[in-house]
Amino acid sequence: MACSGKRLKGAGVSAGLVTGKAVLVGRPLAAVQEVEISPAQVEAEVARFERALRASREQIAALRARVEEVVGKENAAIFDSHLMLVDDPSVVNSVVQQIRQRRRNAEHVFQSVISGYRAMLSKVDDSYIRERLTDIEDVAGRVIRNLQGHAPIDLSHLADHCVVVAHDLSPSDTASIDREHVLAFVTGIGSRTSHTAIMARAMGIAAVVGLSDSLEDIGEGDTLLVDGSRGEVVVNPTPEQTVIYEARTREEREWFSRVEADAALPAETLDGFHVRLAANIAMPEEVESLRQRYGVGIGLFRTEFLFVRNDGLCEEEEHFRTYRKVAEDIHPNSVILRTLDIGGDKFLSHLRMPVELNPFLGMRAIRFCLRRMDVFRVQLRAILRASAFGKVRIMFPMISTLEELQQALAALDEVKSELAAEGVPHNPHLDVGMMIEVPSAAMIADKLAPHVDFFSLGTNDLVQYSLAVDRSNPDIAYLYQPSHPSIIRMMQHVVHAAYAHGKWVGICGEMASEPLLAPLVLGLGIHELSMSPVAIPAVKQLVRRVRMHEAEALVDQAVRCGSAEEVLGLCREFLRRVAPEMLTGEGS
Amino acid sequence: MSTASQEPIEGHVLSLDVVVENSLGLHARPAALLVRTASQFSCDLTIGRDGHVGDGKSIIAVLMLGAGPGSRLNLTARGEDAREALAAMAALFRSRFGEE
Repeated sequence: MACSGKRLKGAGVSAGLVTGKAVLVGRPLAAVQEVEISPAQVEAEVARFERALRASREQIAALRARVEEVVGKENAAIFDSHLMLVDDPSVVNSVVQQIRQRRRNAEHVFQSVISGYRAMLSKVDDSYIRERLTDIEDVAGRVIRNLQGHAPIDLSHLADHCVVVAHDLSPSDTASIDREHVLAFVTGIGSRTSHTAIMARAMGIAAVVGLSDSLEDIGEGDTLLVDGSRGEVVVNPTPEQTVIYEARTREEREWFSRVEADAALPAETLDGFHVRLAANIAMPEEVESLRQRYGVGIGLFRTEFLFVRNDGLCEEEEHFRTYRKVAEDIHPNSVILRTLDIGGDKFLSHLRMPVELNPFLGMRAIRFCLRRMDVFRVQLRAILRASAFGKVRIMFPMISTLEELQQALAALDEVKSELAAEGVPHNPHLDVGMMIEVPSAAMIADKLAPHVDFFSLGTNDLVQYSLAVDRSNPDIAYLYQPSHPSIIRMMQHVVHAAYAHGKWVGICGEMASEPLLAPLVLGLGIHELSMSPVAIPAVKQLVRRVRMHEAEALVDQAVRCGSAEEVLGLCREFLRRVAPEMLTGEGS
Repeated sequence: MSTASQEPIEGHVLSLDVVVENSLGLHARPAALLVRTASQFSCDLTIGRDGHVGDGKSIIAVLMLGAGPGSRLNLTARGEDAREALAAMAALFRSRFGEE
């Protein structure tokens, strides 16, 4: 046992605390020998190659069926491209031809043909096409294993209580996992939205991804403690560590049961003002626990994953099914579906987003949608259709001018008439809102308010655009100041404009989840605070300790400040007065 | 979409020039659609761009063309249903693969 008690840090993408034996799953192609064959063997070799293709085809079809059953059709689509690759005539013909001409074994010929294509494809100037290389590797590895007579990497017959450790798990690997035996996945690469993460959550298996090089600290058979909520892996934990983690998990469980008990309490200030707490979520799988644990609605449902998951553009039916399920699952609470928000730091290579010098100032979100009406209308239709099945609201991101809002609304109206003409059920009166995250929109909020039912303040981007700061740049990250007086003033302007037109304002930026700043948000008169679900209990506790007129007085002082530091000072003082125990651990 | 020549050359080889007009080019989805359509016909079908010629029924070959918007492609078909195959291809390019 090489390491004892070494802690490795990755990204926790599927919760759960488990201990199990490491099973290393290597995916490099098995070494392939070059063997000369006699002319008499040639046809037998071709036949062997064709058998391997047939076996691969059958395995992929079986995986496809399994994935479709476990996590749905949209995740299974990837196997269609695998099937197409297995049957690719360019590859198959050159392999058969070369087996006959060069009289070499099928493994060797196949691998050299694939390497040739791999080299050529990696030169293609298109990231999406280059990404197809992963699929080619997956399929090529399978064909070679079949040729070598090895069973496909089959994770369905693993020993009990094991943790699967791999640099990366291909969709086919993950799909074959037997959840009876596998306790967790640990991988070197991946993110929250990668295939492994989605599958792990769907299957209820703990997962930590993105361990990168520290993966090498794990040896076959090591005991691994995997903490899927914190994104930690402990190699051969000491008894003390096991106890500590178990205690933490117990505390977590107790905390959650307290939270569940609190979920019944209203988010109401001491002087009787109600605010609505809601959650920002990105995956439909999160809705169930949200309803059970917190009993709130969704103030921001990010729809980007629907575009990321798919090979091509998502079909209306898939959008509709997802939105409808979310609307039904969250009922009787409401959900705000935000239309596609790509660009900036979120790219979808298959949409062929242009390369931009300043992506955050470029073809983002609604700008992209208004240009690509084909993409936008599919989503609008699906959202409207889902509105017949629950309390669905729609919201447009990144509006910076009145014209943009009007164009988006016109598209929505057209789609409504289309659905009406087709006799498709939908709610023609669904609430329509827009995000305020661009300073220009904030400043003309009074002109925008008559056209919408609500505003949602996207403070992350609003801060970024107002202070002209790229928060991902560590040299200037100090300028990322949500409590800057300019931001508070802008928010105040937006709220006043909305109120003057009888409209409500929500907030879905990180500012909403910070107990230190929450009194400001309350005092501004913001009606709905939407945040990451785990932040809800603390914010609710805080709301229940505040008097509205005090929060309003805090805002009056804050807008007269000259710096973020001054505002923070006021907030700290406020929090010390109403909820001193919450001051501990706040870092800002 | 522009049709340059659709005259039979050397017996059964038909040829057709097309221009990629959908704004995203021949990326994965249209490429898959093209290959699926081509595979429904028994004739041989090639797709060429700037002197590179690939099998129109091979997803890898089609992707490797890297045909962006505005690319001019030459399709050839040889075999019994060559004419039908090219007509289907022409329709596919004209429809911009159902995209913009």
